[in-house]
Amino acid sequence: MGCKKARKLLGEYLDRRLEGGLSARLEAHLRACPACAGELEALRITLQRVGSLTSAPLPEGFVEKVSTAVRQRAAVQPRPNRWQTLRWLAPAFGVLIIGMITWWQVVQPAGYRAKRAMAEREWAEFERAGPAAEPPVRHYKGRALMREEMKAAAKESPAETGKPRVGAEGAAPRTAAAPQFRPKQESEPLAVSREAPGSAASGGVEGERVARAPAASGLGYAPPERSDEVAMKAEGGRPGAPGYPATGGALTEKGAALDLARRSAAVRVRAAKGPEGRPVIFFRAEASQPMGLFALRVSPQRAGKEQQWVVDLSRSRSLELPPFFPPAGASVWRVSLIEKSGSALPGRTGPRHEDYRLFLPSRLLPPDETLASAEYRGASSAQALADLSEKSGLVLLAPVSQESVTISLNRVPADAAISALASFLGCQVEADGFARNLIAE
Amino acid sequence: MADIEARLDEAALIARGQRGDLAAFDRLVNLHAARVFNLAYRMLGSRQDAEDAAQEAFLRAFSGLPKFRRGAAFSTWIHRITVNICLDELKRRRNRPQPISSLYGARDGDAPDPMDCLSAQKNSEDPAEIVARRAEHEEVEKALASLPAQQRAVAVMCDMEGLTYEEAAAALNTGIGTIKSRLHRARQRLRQLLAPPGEQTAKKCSQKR
Repeated sequence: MGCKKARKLLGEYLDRRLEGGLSARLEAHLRACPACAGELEALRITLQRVGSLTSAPLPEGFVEKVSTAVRQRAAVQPRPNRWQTLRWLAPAFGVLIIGMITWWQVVQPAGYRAKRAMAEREWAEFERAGPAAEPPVRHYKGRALMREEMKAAAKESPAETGKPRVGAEGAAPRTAAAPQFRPKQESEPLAVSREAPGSAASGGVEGERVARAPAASGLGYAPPERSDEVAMKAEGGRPGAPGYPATGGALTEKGAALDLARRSAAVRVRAAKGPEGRPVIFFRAEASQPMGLFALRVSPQRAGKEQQWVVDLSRSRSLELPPFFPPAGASVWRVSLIEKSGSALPGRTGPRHEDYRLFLPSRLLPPDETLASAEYRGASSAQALADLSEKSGLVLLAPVSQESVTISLNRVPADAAISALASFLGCQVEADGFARNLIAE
Repeated sequence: MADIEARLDEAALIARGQRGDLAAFDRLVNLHAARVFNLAYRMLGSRQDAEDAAQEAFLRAFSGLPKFRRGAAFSTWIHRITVNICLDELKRRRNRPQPISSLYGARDGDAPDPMDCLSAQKNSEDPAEIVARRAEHEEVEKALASLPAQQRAVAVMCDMEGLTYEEAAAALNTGIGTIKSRLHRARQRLRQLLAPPGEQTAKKCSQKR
């Protein structure tokens, strides 16, 4: 062993930290090397001196000072320490999580089931009651009253039964046709359509909620079974009336409304004259029973910006949406009522879609304007409706259909034309000076 | 056996302290205060600073008590806290430099109390011996103070307080190898400063081989 290594080991040797073999070798070296032995001695003396240095005595009252400081700190930092707090919180946290899971998995679904069961019962009752029953929707109010009126009118003039005013190829005298669409003015239109309620009554088909296509032959007017709605619409179309959103002074009293009442949910469209006579559209989502969430999407037929509203029909049965100002140039729009998943009634799978076409004229025309002529032969219903909408100044809302149309109209009032077309498509049409309702089955 | 009992006692005290028993913590302070203060004093060289550091060490130990691992040695832990505080303090001092010689003696008025070294021994000794012992102590203190902080910490712990290498390594959060080499260097320097004259022949030997 060399001196260099020996010197390194001296400290550990003194501390008795050398293992036996190494210790023996160092001792051998120390016996042979007086210099290293002297160095060991020097180190021993050094360590002795250091070790003899007495500990510095504690300052007076040090322990008491620390004790006071610790108590101060303990007052600041609450003693039930962090771990204990957490240990206490853990079960509470667990209970919270279990509670939340229970809520999501058990309580909430149960609520949904109950709600659905109630809706189902309501619906079944409604179905059982048949077409005469009042669906729980506001716009059906007053129908019974109007039906009474109609029946009374029919009794008064039975001779006029079955006389259609407008034929597919025939031209109706303008002067005579125009007043026909003002139901409250005279009994004529009521007389024309008296047949319809009669047939519905004799048929007595229970379980059919909405009457089918007009019973009037050819392209006769629709039976005014729902003229009450027309009247109501006309009323509702007045600015300031309840449910009619105020959007400034540009709106006129003249509005057109088309209704498409579906089995459970519907979009209602009402138009008012905006700036330059262009229509401002008000959408109203309605359901015959609380339904859940819907999205109402309005998109132009061609490329363009679409608009979408989320409609919550779980609490109320109808919801008025903000006014929609269609940009100029887009006359055909697709209106989709999309049932959001989770709101479907049991037994119906997947989110349902209701697609309509909305035809917007570039300007709303006065209702008694005559449509000079129109001919639609083999045209698609969409084309025909778009054209009619433009020519008549009416806002039309129709279900999307692939049917083609063969129809010609010659110098008929706009109202008569749309009525004819709608009936050809299997729809019911009612119209008066202020509003039109298209009810599709 | 006694050692094990002491450790068990200490463990019980720590457990009580962790439950918020302040009296138990007071007893822990009582048990360790002397060594903690001595370490701080040897590291910092000033009674006032040492007292502050020791108090801070116990406060930190109190705050950290809930995190203290059962079964670990409280002494090692409190040593580590103290050394860290002292090293921080020394680092801070280095930023406002002070001659190391001022550490012992005239620093902010706390001249070493002549009674310091006497309190342990009874006042029954010869005054001349007292003076001699005092001079001896001052020499060793100066030698210790001249060491770099890390070496000083190891030297104080191992050579003054009698900690094992393992305990020192745990207290300084390093390996045993580091402790050994630091201790070796510290001892060499102390030996140069404190060894009796006439033992310088050693150099020749190492040069020869």
